[in-house]
Amino acid sequence: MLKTQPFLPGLSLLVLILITGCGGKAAFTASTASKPEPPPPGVESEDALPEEGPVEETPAEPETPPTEIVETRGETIRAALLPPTEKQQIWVITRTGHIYLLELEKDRIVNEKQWMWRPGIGARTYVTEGGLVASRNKGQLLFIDPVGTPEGTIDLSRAAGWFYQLPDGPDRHQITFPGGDTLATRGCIVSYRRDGRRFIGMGYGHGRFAEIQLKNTPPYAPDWSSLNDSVPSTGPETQAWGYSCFIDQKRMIYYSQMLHDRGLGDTMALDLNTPPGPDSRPSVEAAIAHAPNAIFRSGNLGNTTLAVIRPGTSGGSYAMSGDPDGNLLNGESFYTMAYEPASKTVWGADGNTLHIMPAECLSKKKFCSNHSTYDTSSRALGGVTLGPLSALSNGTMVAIARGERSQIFLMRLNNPADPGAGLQSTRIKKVEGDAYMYTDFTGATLYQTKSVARVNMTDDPQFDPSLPVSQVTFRWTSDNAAVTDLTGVRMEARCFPEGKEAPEWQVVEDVAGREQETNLDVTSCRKRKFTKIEVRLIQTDAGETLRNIHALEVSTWQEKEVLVSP
Amino acid sequence: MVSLLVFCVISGGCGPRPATPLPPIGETILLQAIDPATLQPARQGDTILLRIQRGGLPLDQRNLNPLLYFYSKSAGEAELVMEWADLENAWQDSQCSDESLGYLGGAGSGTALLCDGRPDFSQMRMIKAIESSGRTTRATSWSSRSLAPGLTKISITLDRD
Repeated sequence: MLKTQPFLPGLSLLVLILITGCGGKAAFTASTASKPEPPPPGVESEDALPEEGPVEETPAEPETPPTEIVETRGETIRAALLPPTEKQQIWVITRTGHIYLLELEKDRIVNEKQWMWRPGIGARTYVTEGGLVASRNKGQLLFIDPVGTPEGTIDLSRAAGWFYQLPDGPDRHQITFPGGDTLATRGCIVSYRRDGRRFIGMGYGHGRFAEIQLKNTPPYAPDWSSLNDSVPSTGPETQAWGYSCFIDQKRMIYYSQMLHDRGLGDTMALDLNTPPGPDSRPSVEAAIAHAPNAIFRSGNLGNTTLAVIRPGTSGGSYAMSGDPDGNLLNGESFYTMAYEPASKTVWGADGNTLHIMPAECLSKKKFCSNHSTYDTSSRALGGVTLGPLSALSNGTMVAIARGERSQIFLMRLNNPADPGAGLQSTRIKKVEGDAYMYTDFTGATLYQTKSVARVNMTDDPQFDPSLPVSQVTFRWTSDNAAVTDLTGVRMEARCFPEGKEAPEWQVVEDVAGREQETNLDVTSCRKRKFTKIEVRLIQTDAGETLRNIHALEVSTWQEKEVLVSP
Repeated sequence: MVSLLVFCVISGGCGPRPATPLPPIGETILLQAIDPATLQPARQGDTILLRIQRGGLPLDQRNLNPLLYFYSKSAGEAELVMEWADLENAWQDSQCSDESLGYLGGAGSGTALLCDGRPDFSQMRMIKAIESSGRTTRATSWSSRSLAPGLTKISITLDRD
């Protein structure tokens, strides 16, 4: 019986490295890769170990075709600009007056704060640069600064500055329907910027609008004394405005759904490009003129794609919403719909099911094929019915199941490119009281003063994560032809491998104009191995350049070994 | 009736619906997409298995017996007005098929079976509930799911004051 020779794996690997230069560097300095030399006499590689049994004649290996190292460009990856708040935060207000702030990192609650407001019915919420604004019936407005507002029962005195109620007057606290029925006014609040100043604004009454300026420094608290509610009532008197709302931050158009005695009705829009005043008139005509998907109807999604509800008809979501391109999301029988930016999908909750579809199916694509539905009332989730939805910026949707105690869920597509490939759902919190809310409560639709675009280069099938990236280039695009340079915007970038801690941001100098290519020349993105690229844009002046930037396109360059053409 | 009683005893499905436990906090559940063929909207004339939730619970578990108003898009007046208790029992006086009755048994209490084609949920614009206390709530959302040919489950959530 033959005895095999002792095997020394460490030694043989060392020899192999010495011979072939598999440290990586050498492969990029050689212009042509060559076949490895045979081992020197007296040194045996693993392949050379004698085998038991008769020794067969080894056939001659075919000659390796010649190769060379060339710098190749991968596919262009388009990255949408994600929402401005880099913090992942969820605000919840319940009928009992409980207010919760849940701050998350990697889908886990890392900080939680609580306040108490007085009990009441539905609260419309909007996350601002400095905190939360919320509106309730009869023109009640609340601002919470997560740092400055003491936890516990909120001081509602005027001196404290957290609470304000519109002064009473015609249509301000109550509207009257023909026949004498009355209804406490609803008001739907948003925040926006105009001419470098920050505002909150609320549609209410019979088509009225209240605007309040925010202070210029963090936490950008409302200056309640700046109230401008000079927009007159428009009627028709059977309707109440401000039931739910959406603001198109690019076009500065505020949309809100009417409530009439037959249910939800007309979608009216108000142009906020100029200060609202006595001549301002919200109208359905304006909604039709401004909403890009106003007349779009899907060929196979039917009433899911309702956008503007016309006079004389009724319908739409309980809480209307929209996407970053200004398309309205107002599907019939839905509690609400919400845009998820990482997967570019729209999610709609109708109580027992959650519908997820590519956003283009609600604005451009006549026949939608890549959409899916999940039974969220299944026993696996505890038989809950989902209502309020609001997106974080990282692929996660926050969904709330209302009840005497409400349940907060985080939901995420198993595969962002395939809505049908499964839905991950994690219950993260039970809160006291009925979360009688609408959307948005995460900052998903706030204007952009700071934005992050994240690119995962493994989305590029040509990208080789085992090789260093020699160069990263990018272009930026804008829907607004007048925006040709990144005036007043600072660009920062960083690159790092998946699973590693992100390095410090570095400023990108000399950014080229619109649709021109710029080298992303920062240390962490230069001649290294990485898979993640992040670009951060910060508006540093009072301008609105960032609001008009649509997307970034990123390409990487890698030196690869390729066959030499004969 | 005897066969239904036997069905209830066997399936245990006709008593109060047990509360379904929520998943533990922090535990991630993976849901699979449902068959799109089951998502056809209810057609006029379908038998309707109706389930209504308010405050996160099925209507009956709160001992509420509101008057329910179903409004169609084509009419100003309510198309159907019924007490919830009457809706729960409406199947007894109707021409429901044995197959439909089987579904009712499996669904447990808090569920109504409507076998006369009313109301037409494909044209619904508003659903309102008025409790004896005078409190009015309205539907914020509703969904339909086909259980079998001619039998559609309609789930309604009453959340809005």
